[in-house]
Amino acid sequence: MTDFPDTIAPLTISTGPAVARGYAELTQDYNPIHLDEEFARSTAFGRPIAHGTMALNLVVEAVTRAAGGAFYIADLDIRFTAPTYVGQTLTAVATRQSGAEYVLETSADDGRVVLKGTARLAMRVSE
Amino acid sequence: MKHFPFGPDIAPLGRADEKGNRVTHITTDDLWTFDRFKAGQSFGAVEVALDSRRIKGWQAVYGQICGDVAPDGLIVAGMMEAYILAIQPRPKGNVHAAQKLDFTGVQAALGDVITYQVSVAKAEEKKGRFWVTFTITAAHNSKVLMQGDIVSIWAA
Repeated sequence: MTDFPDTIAPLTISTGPAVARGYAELTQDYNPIHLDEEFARSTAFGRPIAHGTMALNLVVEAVTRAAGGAFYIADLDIRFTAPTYVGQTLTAVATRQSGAEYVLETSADDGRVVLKGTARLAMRVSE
Repeated sequence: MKHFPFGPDIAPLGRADEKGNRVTHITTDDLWTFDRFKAGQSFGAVEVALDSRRIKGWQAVYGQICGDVAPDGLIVAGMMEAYILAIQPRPKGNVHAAQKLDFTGVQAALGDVITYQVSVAKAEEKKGRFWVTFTITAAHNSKVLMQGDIVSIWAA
């Protein structure tokens, strides 16, 4: 299959406190590690970190937008490799390795890779 | 109705909560600590409606949804909501370490109600950390949309 693009166009979001609160409301994940500065200071992170799936969904959404309905992520396997501190900007990219296999990466604006993994895309079949 | 300082209220079994979710799992007053998790344990089903509140919430972070098909990421967001709702109360400070997702290609429409089944796949202590893998399956009208494995480092 050669119909998959070599790269998925990067997608960027900001993760400020209002976005973190909004994502908490969306997912009902009010873990204080994301929202409570005082609590976060008591953890190894030292300050609030963004929800992991905010970075994950950024790369999922990047693929969805690039696909325009033509393909989708059949499977994905990622690790959260570093924390995203609330307030940072995230950028997700996906690069094709071969066939339908992609390397996924989401980076914070300080250059750290916060999510890394692989995905396999598949073409949508019209019903 | 219980209230948790950092979490949602959980409706009694079989009743809808104030957000319209029909929670069909059994809730407990006891904190879900690592020692209570066992492989194969089920937390039942949580229904999540892809309603206007969630659509607006998604769009506030990721931008406009084009058309009436739910983006795959919205199903992932629902997975997290189901995971949070199904296992309460939970300790503060759990860390989401890794994630696997398998999409079937079946899609849902905005407005659909997605049923998420939540269970424990694996629970093990390694180097003093409590690793728990939860498997969550999302379905609509009995068709599976997605399965996800959430790998968490449980805080207590």
